[in-house]
Amino acid sequence: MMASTDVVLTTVSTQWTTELSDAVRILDWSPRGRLLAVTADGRALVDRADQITAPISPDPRGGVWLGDRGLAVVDPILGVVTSGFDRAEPCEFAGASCIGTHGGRTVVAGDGRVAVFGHPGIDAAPEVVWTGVGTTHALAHVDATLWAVGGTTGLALVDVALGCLDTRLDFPGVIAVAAAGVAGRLVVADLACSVHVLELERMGDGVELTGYSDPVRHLTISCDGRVAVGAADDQLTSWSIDAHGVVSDAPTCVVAHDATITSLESSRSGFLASGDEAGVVHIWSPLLSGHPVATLRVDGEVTALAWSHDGAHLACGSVSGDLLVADVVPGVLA
Amino acid sequence: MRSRDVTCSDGRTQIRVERRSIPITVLALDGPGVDMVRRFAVVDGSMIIASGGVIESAGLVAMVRDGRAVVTAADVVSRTPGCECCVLRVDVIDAIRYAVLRRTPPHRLIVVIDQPAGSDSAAFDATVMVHTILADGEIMRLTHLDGVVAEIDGVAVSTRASCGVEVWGPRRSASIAIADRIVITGSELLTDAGRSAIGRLVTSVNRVGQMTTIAGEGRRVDHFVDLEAWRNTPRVNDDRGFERCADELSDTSTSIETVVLHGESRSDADAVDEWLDMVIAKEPSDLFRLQAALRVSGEDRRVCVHGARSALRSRPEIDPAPTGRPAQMCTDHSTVVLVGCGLDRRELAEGFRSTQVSR
Repeated sequence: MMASTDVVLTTVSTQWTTELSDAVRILDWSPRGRLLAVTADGRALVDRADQITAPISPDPRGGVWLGDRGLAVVDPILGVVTSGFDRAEPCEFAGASCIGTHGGRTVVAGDGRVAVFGHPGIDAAPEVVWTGVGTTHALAHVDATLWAVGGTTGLALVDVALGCLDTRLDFPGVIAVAAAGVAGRLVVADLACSVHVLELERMGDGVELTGYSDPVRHLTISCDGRVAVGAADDQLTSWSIDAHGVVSDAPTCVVAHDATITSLESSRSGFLASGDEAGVVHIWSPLLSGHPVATLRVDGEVTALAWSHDGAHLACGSVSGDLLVADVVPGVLA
Repeated sequence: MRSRDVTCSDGRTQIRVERRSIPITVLALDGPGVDMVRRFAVVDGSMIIASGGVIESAGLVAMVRDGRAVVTAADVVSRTPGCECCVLRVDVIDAIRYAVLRRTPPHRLIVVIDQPAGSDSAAFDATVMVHTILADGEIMRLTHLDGVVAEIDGVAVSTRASCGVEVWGPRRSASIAIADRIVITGSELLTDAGRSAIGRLVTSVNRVGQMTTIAGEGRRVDHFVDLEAWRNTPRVNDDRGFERCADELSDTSTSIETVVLHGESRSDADAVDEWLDMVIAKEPSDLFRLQAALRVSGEDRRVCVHGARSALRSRPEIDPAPTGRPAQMCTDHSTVVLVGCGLDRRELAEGFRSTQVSR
């Protein structure tokens, strides 16, 4: 594909950096652009480098902003820990490992079930839905009230408004899920080194993409559902998917890094960020698949990446606690 | 971690943190294991990944809070549904990732399998644990398997043996068969005859490990770690004498056996690959351990292969001269050690011989 000049002229500049006390496990942006970073020792950086909490969780596995002033962190021991609300005690939920929020509901996935909170800060009695897919390893919001939960024995679609299981598919150990709700499309990676492209309208009739020698742990899909990207070892593989869900026979493979890719995140504007075990973060444009349009570097293995909602900022966290926030400005022609 | 120059968009320069591969010891407990785990948890630089409800109920959750231990549930999956040889511990994969990806990672990991009484789940099978560690690329990127240690409660085993009841179940037998070290506790309570009987029982199933007897509270962490047994050449006890020993113990109830193959000539690389594929494809769930040091055409150093069930890993030999043996003897030979159930010695020997090219 020919590169457009405006993409090549994309600029990236470091806004600020800081060094945290432990590996950065979780990064999330609030709708208004406030940053949450949670470290492996349970401390949370909230918005600014000088605003760091005491440890709030012994083993944080996931965290999200709830609006712009509250946040929730999950860990398998304590359950759901909230901050910014009147609630002091965590909401117990065994095995809590993933969390997401959408449309006023917060969904926490744990051992074989999901908890649906109206608001974790005040709602102590969530509605619990059994997923039947064992311990949760991946969670993604699909569309409206539908959430995808990947677990030990497969994938479950849960309707959190109805409080019921919508669909369940058997896969050997789901480890990554990404969804494009607008297109009604899901991509799912399992331990058998396959990636499955599923259409919401016909969940039992998906396409299985094979050929990886190792499981694909990092997976993303564009907002329109037309491009799915998976990372395994040092390669990025992207599949084009047409409006009818037909996956192209010839995926594009790029040796994207000199080391194993450890993080992958796409922005709503279509940019892709990939980080590797040597601390290199490449930013890719959807219009230029062969070369990164920009490169950043953090200290040690990249453990978390997060794009702000408007796609203007990228946060990068590393195993050594290095946190970098960069401004990303797509190029424009004069 | 590899080093190279990268031009950053912002021109920022960084000092990169080097990360070393963390050794993992798999510890299959028997008897009063909880006390042992508690003791390990205070050993500087170690982190416990405990696998089993018994330990969880014994108060290890408190240790989690100071970052020393990770307690996991039994979260077992098969990569191919219904395929026993591909069973993986997904919870262990996650626990290891979270334990290692820290600013100050643990000096070592000890994965403890504490099988609840009466449970015969794959979750508590040491071969499944080893297979998980070897099969998952992410774990192998961050760590390496240091060794497998099986603890034996000497008094319980001696009592069962003298009563004529089954001493070990199939999963326990497999753990002992692949162990690099077998630690027999409570030896001060055993008679000489009891010690001798246990020794014979162990050597009837395990030919690759060392036996250590411990009296009273004498257990130390160095009984269990830093074995470096799964990266290099296979260790085999009493190579030539084992067949005789096994014959003497023909009344043993176990069907686990160890096959040792030696080759004087180099093997053809493609042929040996094909043979290894065939070996693990035949009855992978019955192949508990495969370890080899192979002289391969076109390779200066021997190729060390190690695996369990359907997972195999290989790497060039690190130290060509194991302690106590002349270097020439070791580097000139190929050695293959297979531990499993129902192994066909003749077929394996013929298959291996067919990979060898004339000198």
